[in-house]
Amino acid sequence: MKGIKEIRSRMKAVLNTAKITRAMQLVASSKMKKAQQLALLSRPYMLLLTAITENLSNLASTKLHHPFFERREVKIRGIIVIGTDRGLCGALNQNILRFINANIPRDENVKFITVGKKAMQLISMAKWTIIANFNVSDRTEYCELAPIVEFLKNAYLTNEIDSLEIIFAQYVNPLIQEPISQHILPMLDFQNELERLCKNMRIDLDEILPDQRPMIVEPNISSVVAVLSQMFLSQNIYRVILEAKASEHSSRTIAMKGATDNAETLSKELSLEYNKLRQAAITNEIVEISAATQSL
Amino acid sequence: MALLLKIVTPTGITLNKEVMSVVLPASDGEIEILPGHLPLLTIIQPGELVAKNANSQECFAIDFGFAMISNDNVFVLTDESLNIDETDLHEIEEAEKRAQKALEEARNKREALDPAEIEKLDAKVKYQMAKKLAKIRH
Repeated sequence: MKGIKEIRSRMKAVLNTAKITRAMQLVASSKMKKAQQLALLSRPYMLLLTAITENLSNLASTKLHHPFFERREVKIRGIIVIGTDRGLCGALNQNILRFINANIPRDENVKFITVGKKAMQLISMAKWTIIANFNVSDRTEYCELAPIVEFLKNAYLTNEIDSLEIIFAQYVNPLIQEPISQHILPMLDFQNELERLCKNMRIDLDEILPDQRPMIVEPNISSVVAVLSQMFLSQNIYRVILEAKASEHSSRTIAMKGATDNAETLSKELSLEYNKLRQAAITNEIVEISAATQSL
Repeated sequence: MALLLKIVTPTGITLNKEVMSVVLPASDGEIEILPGHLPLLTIIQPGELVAKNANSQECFAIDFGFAMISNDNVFVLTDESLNIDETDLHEIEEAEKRAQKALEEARNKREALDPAEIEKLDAKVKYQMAKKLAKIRH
């Protein structure tokens, strides 16, 4: 049996831990709300961008001639994995790794790009090839993505990778975050994407589409397509990173809530034990005193 | 008749307003859009956007992006935009200094850094300068 002193110091430690985990839980839940808000705010941008691209593809009548829009033979798959920078967020990163191991055959030629320290550590430990790692802060500002997008664009255009997928933890609800894989490059099928977005936002497509007069494109279609495709890529990655951040923070909220609850249970058990010991000591003392008086 | 001007950035809709005319920093120079303009899709450079009404005007500093004009709607799609009248010149100067400094630092250790990042920083500096110029002008 432990001594009273040890139990007391243990109780203090447990309560301090509970304080810290509770603070972390609150911080994570407010960060999650922020990420969700940002994601909502970026929706009109996404919609307009899709509409313009769709417009342009109608205009070019045949096809948009840009490597981003053309299917090509896939020799090397490029996969960008969005993980977290810090731990203590439940099994989020491990689930992503498990998803990768289950879905990507070992013998296939795959190159990984990671976002977040934990993703890099896990994937390099699993002995996959990583060609780049980036970090994005919790504020998730749009300009932070520029280096990532620039890198992906160059890798794709120089045939270092022939397709691009993104693996991240999708936000289902506060309790569930599921790793999924989404196809990013080449971009095909705008019409469907556009319809899906419109349905989500309850917006009438006719409002955005141009009038019947022919559209003038300045300076020329190919340079517009080049810029447009890049904006599209960055917006797509921005959207996914925001969702991954929301997942990360809600997973951390749950993990920290669990930790706080555990600490509280432990502290209750400890205080029970402490009180028992204290009472035992008092009883002992009384017994001794009364024995002493009797012997007098 | 009037134009409906919408400035949309990844962080939200900055402006949604009826105006009489819009001056845009297009790729081949400034252009002014009036009601009844032909459908137009153009790249825009970092610079100044002026939204004019009968007796007032509002200025915005905008980053690289797109403008689409159709049906008297002007959609401006840009990475970042800023209402100049609501901004303090001092703040802009500070931001410019920070951007310049980051660029200098990046240039000094060129080997270690991605050229793309330097380019981006350079663009940031230009955007800051455009903001400053626009502010001084008004």
